[in-house]
Amino acid sequence: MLWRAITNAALPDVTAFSASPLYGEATHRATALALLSAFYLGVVGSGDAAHLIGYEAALMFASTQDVTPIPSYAIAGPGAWGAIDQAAPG
Amino acid sequence: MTTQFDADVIVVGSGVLGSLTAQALAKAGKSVIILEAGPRMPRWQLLERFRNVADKSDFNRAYPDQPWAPKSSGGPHSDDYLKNVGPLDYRPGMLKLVGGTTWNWRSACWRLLPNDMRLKTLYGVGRDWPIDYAALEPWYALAERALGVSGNAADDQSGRGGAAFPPRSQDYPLPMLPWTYYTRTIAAQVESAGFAFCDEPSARASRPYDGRPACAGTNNCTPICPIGAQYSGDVHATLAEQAGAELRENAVAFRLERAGAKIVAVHYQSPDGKTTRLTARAFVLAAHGIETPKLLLMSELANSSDQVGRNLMDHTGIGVTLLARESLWPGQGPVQQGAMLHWRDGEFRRRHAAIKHALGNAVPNRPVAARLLAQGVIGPELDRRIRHDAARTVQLATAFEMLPEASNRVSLSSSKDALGLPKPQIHYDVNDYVRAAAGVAQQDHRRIAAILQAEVVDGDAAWRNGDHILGSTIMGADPRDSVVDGDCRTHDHENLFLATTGVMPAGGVVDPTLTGAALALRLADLLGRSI
Repeated sequence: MLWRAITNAALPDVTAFSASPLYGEATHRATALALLSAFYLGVVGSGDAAHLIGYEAALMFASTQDVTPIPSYAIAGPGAWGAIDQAAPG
Repeated sequence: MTTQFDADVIVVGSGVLGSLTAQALAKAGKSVIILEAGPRMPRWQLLERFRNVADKSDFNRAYPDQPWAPKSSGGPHSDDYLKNVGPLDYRPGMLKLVGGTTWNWRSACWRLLPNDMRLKTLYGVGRDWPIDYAALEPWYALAERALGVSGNAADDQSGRGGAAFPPRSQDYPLPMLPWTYYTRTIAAQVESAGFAFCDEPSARASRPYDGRPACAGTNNCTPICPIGAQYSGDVHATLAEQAGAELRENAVAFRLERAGAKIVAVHYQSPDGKTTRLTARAFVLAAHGIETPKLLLMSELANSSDQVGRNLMDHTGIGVTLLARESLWPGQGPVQQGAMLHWRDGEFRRRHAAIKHALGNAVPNRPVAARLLAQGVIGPELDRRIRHDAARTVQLATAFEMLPEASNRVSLSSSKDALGLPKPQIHYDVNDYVRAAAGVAQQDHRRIAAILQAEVVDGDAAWRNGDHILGSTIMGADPRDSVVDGDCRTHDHENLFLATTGVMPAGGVVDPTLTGAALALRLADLLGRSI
């Protein structure tokens, strides 16, 4: 249903979708956020029904991985953080 | 007639305190059997489970969930294990596997202050310890070496920003880990406004130590350090075995047997329900602050004072999440590095609890992304805002000292676990001494937010467990109102000792594991010389 609505409205990307009236419609909004939450958080469902679909690939880490580690993966050697004396642009 | 024993000493529990005790006794030439309720699992397997688990907000979730060895949460066998019946739901971290609950900890290794052990004398509240800081100091130094603690001996850990304190006979075995830009910047800003900030000593190796690699900043101290740079109890479980101790996994101790005033045997169940009886000259219960009193209550032992299970304390606290004006970038390095301790000791303790504000340094992307998605932020704006907010997130975890109260209590539930053993029943609340401190801490939070020009994104109203179980087998000089004496020996049974933070009659406001380790090494020395 969401796919058909996006196709019919000829929306090329998420930016266009978020600016369109479709994103204001409760059903479409809920479906889009459920899909995007899965991509960003790496999990579908919630509670006991939650399933992991990705950890390292979860998009929540994509915009910061030049600065901070994906927890449990090092990005530099022991103590390297001590030499960082200014904040990366954020 | 010569009496034959299965071992000189049987230790129940293979966590940090039980394993330290077992290793010290085995090194002293004693025959030792360790009983562990849970299984043995290698670090790589636990790490893979962490990465593959969906709910990463429950730090217990990646650890084994066995019907015969329930955790405090995080699985179908564990979620209904602790039966809370009081005003607050008390569910401290508790794991059951070889190495125990220090698989999942931040490894803060503070010492108590001398005044923490004289609370009643100095401030008229709580209880005094029956031993003083000077008696414990050499054992603190040994415990720091055993756990490989990185720290700064020049710090005033009383929170006043003065000379080095408390007194110490030896430097830390490892230098403190370097602070991140985030920690350094916040420390400088709060210090310029009058809050002393000091390094948090931790059992994370700042350089290779005792077979462990140096901390590489994977920012995953909880729920599991991927590389073992951070100490966990399996280190000494292994060292105990190498020293000759026998470790039996999946062995659930359920009864101690007495003959006269002495303990003669422990009975354990295997997962298939088979029971085994083992005899020893002495017994050490090191089964966590909840399970140790539970085992004593099930055995109807050591409880002539009616204090077993009572006086349950933690460092129940509150937390606040801020969004600072400038980019600070939490998440580089380990998950926590320092604290503000200006409410650690003073006359105010007559009126309200001591307070510790620890500065969190965990990568905040998950809560940040979840919050933004809940607000409906999507597309490139979502990526921009995740980076913006992650760079500015500041987390404060505030803990409070508690006082022993008979009504805060572990007892036996009528509900049974898979082996037919009673589940722990818990009645827990915080009193006005803690509530008064919460008001003071919330004022601090507002001042710190102002210093950092930050907005509050998650408020500080809800109580949080500290995972620091104290008081449940309380230590004291008087057998009429305490369970163990100053040597961790039960008043009622001369060959029964308790190695648990549950013996601590006052815990100040700092993480208790190092104090528990010092007490365990002290009792092992005493026991080793008496057998």
